[in-house]
Amino acid sequence: MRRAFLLMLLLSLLQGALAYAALGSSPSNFGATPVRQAARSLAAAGADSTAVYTISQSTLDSGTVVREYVNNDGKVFAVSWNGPTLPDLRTLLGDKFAVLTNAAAKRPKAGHSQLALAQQDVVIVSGGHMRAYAGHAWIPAALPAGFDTSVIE
Amino acid sequence: MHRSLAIGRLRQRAGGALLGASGSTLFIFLASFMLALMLSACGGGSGGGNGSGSDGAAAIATQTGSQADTGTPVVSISATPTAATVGQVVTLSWSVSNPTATGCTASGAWSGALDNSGSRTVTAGAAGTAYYTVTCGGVSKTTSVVVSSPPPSPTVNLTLAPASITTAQTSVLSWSSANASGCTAGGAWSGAKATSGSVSIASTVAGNFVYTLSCAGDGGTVNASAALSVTAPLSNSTAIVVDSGPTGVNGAINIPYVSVTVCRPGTTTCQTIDHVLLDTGSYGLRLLAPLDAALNLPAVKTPSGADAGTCGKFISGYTWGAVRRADVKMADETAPGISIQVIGDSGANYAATPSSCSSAGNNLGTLAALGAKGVLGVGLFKQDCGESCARSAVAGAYYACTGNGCTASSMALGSQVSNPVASFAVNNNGVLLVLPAVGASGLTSVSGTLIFGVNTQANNTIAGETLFTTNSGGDFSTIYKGKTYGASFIDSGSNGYFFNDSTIRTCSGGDFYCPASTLSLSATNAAADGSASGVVNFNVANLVQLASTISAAQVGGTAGTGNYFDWGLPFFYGRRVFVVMEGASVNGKTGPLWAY
Repeated sequence: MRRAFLLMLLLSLLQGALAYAALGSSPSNFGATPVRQAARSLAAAGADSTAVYTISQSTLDSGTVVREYVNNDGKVFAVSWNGPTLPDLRTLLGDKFAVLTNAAAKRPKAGHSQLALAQQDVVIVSGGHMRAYAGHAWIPAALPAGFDTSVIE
Repeated sequence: MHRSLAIGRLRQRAGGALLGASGSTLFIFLASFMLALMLSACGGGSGGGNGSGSDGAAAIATQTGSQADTGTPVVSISATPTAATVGQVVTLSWSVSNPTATGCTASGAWSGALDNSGSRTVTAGAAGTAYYTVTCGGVSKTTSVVVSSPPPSPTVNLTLAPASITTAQTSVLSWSSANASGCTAGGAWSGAKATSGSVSIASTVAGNFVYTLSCAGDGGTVNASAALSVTAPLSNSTAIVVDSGPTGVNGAINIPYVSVTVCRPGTTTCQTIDHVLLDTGSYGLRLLAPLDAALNLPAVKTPSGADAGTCGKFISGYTWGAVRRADVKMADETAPGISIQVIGDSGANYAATPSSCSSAGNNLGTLAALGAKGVLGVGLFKQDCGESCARSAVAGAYYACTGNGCTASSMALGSQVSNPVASFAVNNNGVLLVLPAVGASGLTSVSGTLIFGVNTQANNTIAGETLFTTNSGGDFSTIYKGKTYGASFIDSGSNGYFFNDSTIRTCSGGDFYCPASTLSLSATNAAADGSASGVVNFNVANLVQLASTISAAQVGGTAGTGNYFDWGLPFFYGRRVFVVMEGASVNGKTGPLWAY
């Protein structure tokens, strides 16, 4: 019993460490979870740019993959998710989370829709259904020069 | 048997002649009678008869020897009938001329002292020849009765298989008999019947019917009966309505509703809830609190023994609440004791919504936000989470809730909020949704049918529909305007077609499409295993130009840069859409799959 409790405690601590950075902020607390994380650096295919960005990828317990796109300034300019559970969008979207929650209020009638918002300050796409969620978001103003948003996985 | 019977008859005639003979012819008859007795002895007639036959011969010899003496008793005896079956009553009559004072005695197959004349009834014993001798004053006389075995009694067997049917089913009434020459039907059927046979039985009315059969033969008559119970057929279907929603919902568009009954497990304490959203994009029943207090549904526990809380996550938001156990009933189907979610449960341990739940977006825990009194998830899967939640404490799914709040917890598969259809006793491999067509101008309401089971009844059989297998997440591919969307799905809980087409004008400030006029479009769906593909033609009307009373319409919205085509409720209009659950096999394919 005690052993089980300790194991649960350890797991919950690990889970706490699996937090990700918010869109628009630095991924400072993201590097603490190397086990399920991989990072790679890519050059954006811009015409007159040598901008480099980094993709940090983590896999949640459920199997959902979360990717964060970090620019040269160390800021997360895009995020994406894909898998059987929905990640913590409040953490992932940061202060853009409110944009998500406000969207439903704009609809003229009751009913459940997919979500695709394209605002000047943020683009949020969230779709799928229970056991298969996918989405992504980016901050247009923070994209590396020449970054093509269609490469967001 | 035949032989001794013939001899018995011969002796009977001889005896009769003897009684009527006059003195001058007596010896001739006696000689022939002796011959008959000798034949009987040589023929080895039945064992019991031989000894008595000797007695008879002795009696006749005695009588013959006494012929010269007047005053010698003359004994006569007769049996009626002289041929009988075992157990039959035979009457023996005897009399004595010139009786002596010593009276008479019975011997052979009967015994005791006898009057000088009289009659007595005896019961025929074992098969064979029974000899009844009366002896008076030293003179004996014997008569015999041929006893034969009675014909065997007939038997009959009447069965109904099955003994209980519905008015939509048939039963087979079968019968067989032995030692019978014919049968007569009675009760719920009639007429002469062969000695064996079978008939198919159907009844258009409910009730209890008794079928009787009487079979007769030489050995008598025998009766049998069988009872058939006919009930109204169990229903595997329930109504779907697409309307403006329950009071408190502001103008629903494309929300399919059904009624669901929940009961305290194992009891008849139930509550039927109307306007529950029928959702093929989720799994399990979620109902808005408060439910009837009398239900008092028991809390489901986490592996640690705490009250289980759960978070239902939808693209449109989250539902937070308790996991409770209920019998879930629709039509004549029951999912006994399954886990459901009670959204906004008032239990103290569920009071605080965990941030990992509310992180999904909007709180759908109100009638206005949910647009329904609950969500009935009857999609491709059995549980809302599945193996990953059974293995580990997946964030944002299940919680162990105590007075100190809720923490993420694993949850055994059998305790997870689950698709009620999977727990039905029958018709449990999927569902069929049938909705009428809806034109471009929309309808204020439409009525359809939710049918449980696939290929399990006449009303849920895949006919001309094509099977589209999905991947493990429930998705297939849709090709629209040359681009393939690999995470496409069919979802009755989505209130429109959601797909990416930047050439279609969106409604002001919203993500629905508002084309200038109704668009006729097409896309191609392809099964995940590549086994099938097919073109789907569809229309997209302008949402805001619809009359305000319209609740069912061909509308759509943008999926942005998402990699999916969401075939929402408008796809179901005018179609039969089958949901075949994970692990179920139909027409040579194993679910999860769709057929339409």
